[in-house]
Amino acid sequence: MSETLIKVKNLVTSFKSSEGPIRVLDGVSFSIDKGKVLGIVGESGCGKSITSLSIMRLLPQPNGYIESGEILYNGVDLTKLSSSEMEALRGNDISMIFQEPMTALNPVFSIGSQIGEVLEVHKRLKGRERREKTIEMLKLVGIPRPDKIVDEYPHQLSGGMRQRVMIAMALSCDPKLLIADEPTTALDVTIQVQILELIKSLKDNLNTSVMFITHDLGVIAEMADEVAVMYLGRIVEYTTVDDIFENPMHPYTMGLLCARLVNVKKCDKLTCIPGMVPTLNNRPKGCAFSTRCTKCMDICKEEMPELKQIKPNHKVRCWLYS
Amino acid sequence: MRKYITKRLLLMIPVLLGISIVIFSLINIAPGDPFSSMIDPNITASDKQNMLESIGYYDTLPVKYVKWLGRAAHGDLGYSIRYKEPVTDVIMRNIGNTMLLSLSALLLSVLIAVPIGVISATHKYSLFDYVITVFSFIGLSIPVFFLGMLMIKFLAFDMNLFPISGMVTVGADYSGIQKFFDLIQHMILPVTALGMINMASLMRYTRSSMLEVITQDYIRTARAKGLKERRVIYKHALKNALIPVVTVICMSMGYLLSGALLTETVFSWPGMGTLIYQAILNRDYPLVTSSTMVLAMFILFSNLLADILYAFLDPRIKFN
Amino acid sequence: MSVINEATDKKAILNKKNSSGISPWQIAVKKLKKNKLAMFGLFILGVLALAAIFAPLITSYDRDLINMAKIYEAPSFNHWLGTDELGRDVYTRLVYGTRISLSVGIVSTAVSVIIGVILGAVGGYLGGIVDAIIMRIVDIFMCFPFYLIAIVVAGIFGPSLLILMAIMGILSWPKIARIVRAEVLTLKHREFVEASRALGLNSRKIIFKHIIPNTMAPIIVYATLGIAQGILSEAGLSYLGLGVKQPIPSWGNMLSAAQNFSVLVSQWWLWIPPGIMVLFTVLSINFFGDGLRDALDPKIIQ
Repeated sequence: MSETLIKVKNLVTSFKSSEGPIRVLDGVSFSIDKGKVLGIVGESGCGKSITSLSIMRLLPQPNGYIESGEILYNGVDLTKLSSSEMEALRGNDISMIFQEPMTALNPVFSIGSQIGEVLEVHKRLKGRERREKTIEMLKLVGIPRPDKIVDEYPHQLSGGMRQRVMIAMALSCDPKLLIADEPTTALDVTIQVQILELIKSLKDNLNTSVMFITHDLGVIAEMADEVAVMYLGRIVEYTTVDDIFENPMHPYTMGLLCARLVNVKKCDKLTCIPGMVPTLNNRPKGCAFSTRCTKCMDICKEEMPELKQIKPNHKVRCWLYS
Repeated sequence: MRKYITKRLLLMIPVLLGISIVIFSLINIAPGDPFSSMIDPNITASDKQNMLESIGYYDTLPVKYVKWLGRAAHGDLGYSIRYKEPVTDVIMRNIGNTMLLSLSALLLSVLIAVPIGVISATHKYSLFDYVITVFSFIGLSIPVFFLGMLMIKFLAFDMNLFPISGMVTVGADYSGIQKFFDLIQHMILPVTALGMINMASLMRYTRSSMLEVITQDYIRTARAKGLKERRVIYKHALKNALIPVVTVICMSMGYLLSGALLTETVFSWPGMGTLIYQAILNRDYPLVTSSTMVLAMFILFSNLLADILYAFLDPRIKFN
Repeated sequence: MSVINEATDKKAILNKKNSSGISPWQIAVKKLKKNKLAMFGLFILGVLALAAIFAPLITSYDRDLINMAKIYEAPSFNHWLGTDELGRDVYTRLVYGTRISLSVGIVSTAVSVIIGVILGAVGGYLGGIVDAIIMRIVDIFMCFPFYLIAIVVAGIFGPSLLILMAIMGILSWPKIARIVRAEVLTLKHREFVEASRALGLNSRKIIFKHIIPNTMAPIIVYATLGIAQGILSEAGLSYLGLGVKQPIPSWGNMLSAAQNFSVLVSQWWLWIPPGIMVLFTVLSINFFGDGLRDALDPKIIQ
């Protein structure tokens, strides 16, 4: 019987701008169980990164803010915590790794000191104990000669190595939830595979839950247990990883699947979803996808459908099924 | 890093030569006979002939240059027309005062500007930031000598808070701690005037350096690690932001020496500035050109120091 | 597709505005207009420029008319800013001084920009020995404190307006050259330069037609700020008596009256007005130049 680790309820996140507040997340709800992986998929600008930053309460200041909703972590609503309470959670209970390993590490501090810092702040480790644990973490993520690397600087490592260091840093305090925001997008394909394997094995060994954000459905197939497809700040389909590939229901999901090279044989030609993602201040009336949907009906242009459970463990936001 | 420093040192050589060529050209373009002033005016006429020969008076230009360079490297910079003593002695008397003024102004501006710049950046758009911005704009726009004049008129003369000019109180015979305080009293106005402009530009530079660093990815990573905001700013951000600031501080010696000339004139401070100014009015060209060279050397070395410090502080250069 | 067609397409993109029809320049102007300080600065500069041009219309006295019966008069209804040591009307001289100070600033900056842009672009683009030599010359110039060399040269050649502008221009070009060179180095490897090469343009054309227009933004900003620096420098040199010579008034040589201690203390109207004029002019230029820098910076998104 798996327990829920984190439950996001109707999260609304907005940005202040010179033209008024812009809503980036419009009622996002999902949950992640202990030890499970949730994959969040969508094109650039759909709000996947903002979702993760909202959970971490790391929205760009001073313009980003959580308008409403709840983020229940172990029963505690993260949106109501003070900054010092959040600081105690970050890096400790909930960790995050980012997309660009080349710029994510501080260039003027050694690898060892950057990892050691997390251990010092959250676990109060000092001196030799801290250094040993740091080297152990480097070994865990597969970095060769960890006792040398611990004193080196980020610029002396390759992109793949730096991402491993990031992972070591994120996992060093045994977090319950790891948020991975497109961690392999900026890496070579061969390195991508290694990093994904690493995350998978670490997750299995440490029983960490993972929220994996990507635009690549292939990665989803590898990593996720459950999948949420996002479009323009809302979840449009939410189901298990098997169901998303075998029974995709939302036209957007189907479009994404057809657009993959793997499916060329199946669909005869490389299809793509017509049109472009609308900008956030030009939201279409009714269903957000109505401007590009091949199965668009009249009601789609008038009203926004709700995220409804159509089958066990399968929710869709589409008028085709309501 | 050793490669980097060696490269910098090697590059310095052509610059040194270039400086010496510029100075030498100035010596020859200046009206008057530069050679008579290169030998002790107190010697006999026959000795003078021999001396003239040895220093290259009758030689071709390139040889003149080489001989002059040789002597300059040994500290023989000729004789001042006005003071009738070796230029080196005259410079030695005055350079200390200018250094005192410039370095104090540097210290003052750094101690005030850097912390304020950092706070300005972390409290962007606040009232404090706004006030500081206006203040630094004014500081950048006011001519240093005008500021000095205003200070003398209002603070020294009208309100009698500070001495009007000079370095020490004339006539009084202080010693020990009294002498020290007398000096400080005389220093306050010129050091503040000179440091004001440097302060203003350093404030803005620190602020913008800090702002640029704060938006970097690794600061977001630091926050994601659960570090307290104070640690994120004052450890992670500041160290990165200060590296270019340190180099700017070193390189501002050039501006400070430049400004010192004007400040000294306004406050009658007995330093290189007043010396050079008087020397020009007196057509004492040996003094002028040699003083120029000494100051240029000093600036060259500050710039070199800036580069070396940069290599030390930035691991990307230190370990490569 | 043949290489030539590809390059032609790239060239078309070079000249195209973005899809919503607004060029980057128009975006910059929009941003600039929103900046109140910058607009204020521009307004003041406009007023000053008009005052300089229409000086005879807004002053009632002859600029150089000496009247020994009326020396050192305090400000009054007849003479708004009093008279100076030769009985001349201070207000009139102040207004005419605007001409000198502004033109010295502009001309010397123009000189330094022209030299600096050419040398910086050539050095940056050609690299190698040419670049090394130019950079060493820049280093040499940067070792000499400005006032020092200016004083020495003015002292040797005698003060005159022309020499002043020339000295200032010649001593300031290294700063611009460095900036231009840095920009050129970044641009050198961008795609549109490769496209130009593919089209067969020679180096000179590439430098002048494509690279330099793209370095305009920092050049404009530094030129603007350079004018401010020029005005400050002119003030300083004229104050020392090595700049503009009497009877031509400049704010700097009006300030030199205060070298006399009793003038400094008792006749404030002789030196405080020109000092304030310098302050306000340079301040306005700095406001505007700073706003310009923010407006042209692609990284700042409003």
